[in-house]
Amino acid sequence: MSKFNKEGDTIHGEQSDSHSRKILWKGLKVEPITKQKMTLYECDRNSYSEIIKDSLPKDCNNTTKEFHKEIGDSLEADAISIYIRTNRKIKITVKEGASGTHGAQYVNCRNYSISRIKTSLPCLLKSIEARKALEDKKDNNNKK
Amino acid sequence: MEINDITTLKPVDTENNFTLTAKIRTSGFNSQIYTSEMGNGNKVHFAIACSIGDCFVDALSGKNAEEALKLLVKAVNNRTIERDYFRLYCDLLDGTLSEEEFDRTIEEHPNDYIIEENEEISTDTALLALNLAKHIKDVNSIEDLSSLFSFNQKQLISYSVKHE
Repeated sequence: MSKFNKEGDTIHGEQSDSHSRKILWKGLKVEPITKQKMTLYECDRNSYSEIIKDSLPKDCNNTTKEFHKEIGDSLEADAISIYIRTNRKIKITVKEGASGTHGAQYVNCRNYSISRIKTSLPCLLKSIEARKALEDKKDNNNKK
Repeated sequence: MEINDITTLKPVDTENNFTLTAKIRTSGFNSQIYTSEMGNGNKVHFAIACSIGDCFVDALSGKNAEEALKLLVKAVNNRTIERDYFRLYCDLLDGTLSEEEFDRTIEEHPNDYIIEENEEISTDTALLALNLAKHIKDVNSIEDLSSLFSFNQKQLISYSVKHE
């Protein structure tokens, strides 16, 4: 039962509860690690996701071994993506004034789901530029 | 040599009269083009450039433009696939399609409704895509980027891991 807040941290469970200031339905996608067809929701600002029922043995295999899976494990971050095993949109509940000032949207997911802390594009750009500089340096050293 | 130092360089050909006709500066290179008239409408161009890596040569040969065009065509096709999924979903909501027909259609034609995200890319392509994405609506995350251009998201996630 731990809290995770680093980019890329992932939890998965048979049932989960999540909430955020804004939750967007992004349609049917292929989850990048497990390669399963799942519906993607993107949580933006003050996002939280928690496992309330652990995954079935069939979902705990080699591909998901890096995922956190204990009941109570949670993600707390600005932005989280949630992949839910269904072809359909699930209901998002809106609660006004949840944090005193702002409202929040809730997804209580009763299908298998995978939640992951997102990396923003500016952070990705910085990482790729750093990687590219490293590659160029290696190339130059090899030429010498 | 610094990227601004090229202003001190000039063509050394004294027989032909070269005049400065263009200055092109991008994030990847700084260049000056000198031109001399050779008669019969022919011109000789002389380029001086200071470039990060092969940016200048790639721009001159059209390599970046071709790559960008491929990515943009992919993006339009992927947005169409997304639209078709939402269109199918609307058919389900208004009762044109039954639940079974909806599931069967997706199961039988996954490529028409789900974007494949399996293309392995170089860091150059990733940088080009990130620059293009700045001009495209609603691309705010790795998920948006990979589903727009069909990039392997696992690879992008590995790129975002910090390198010491």
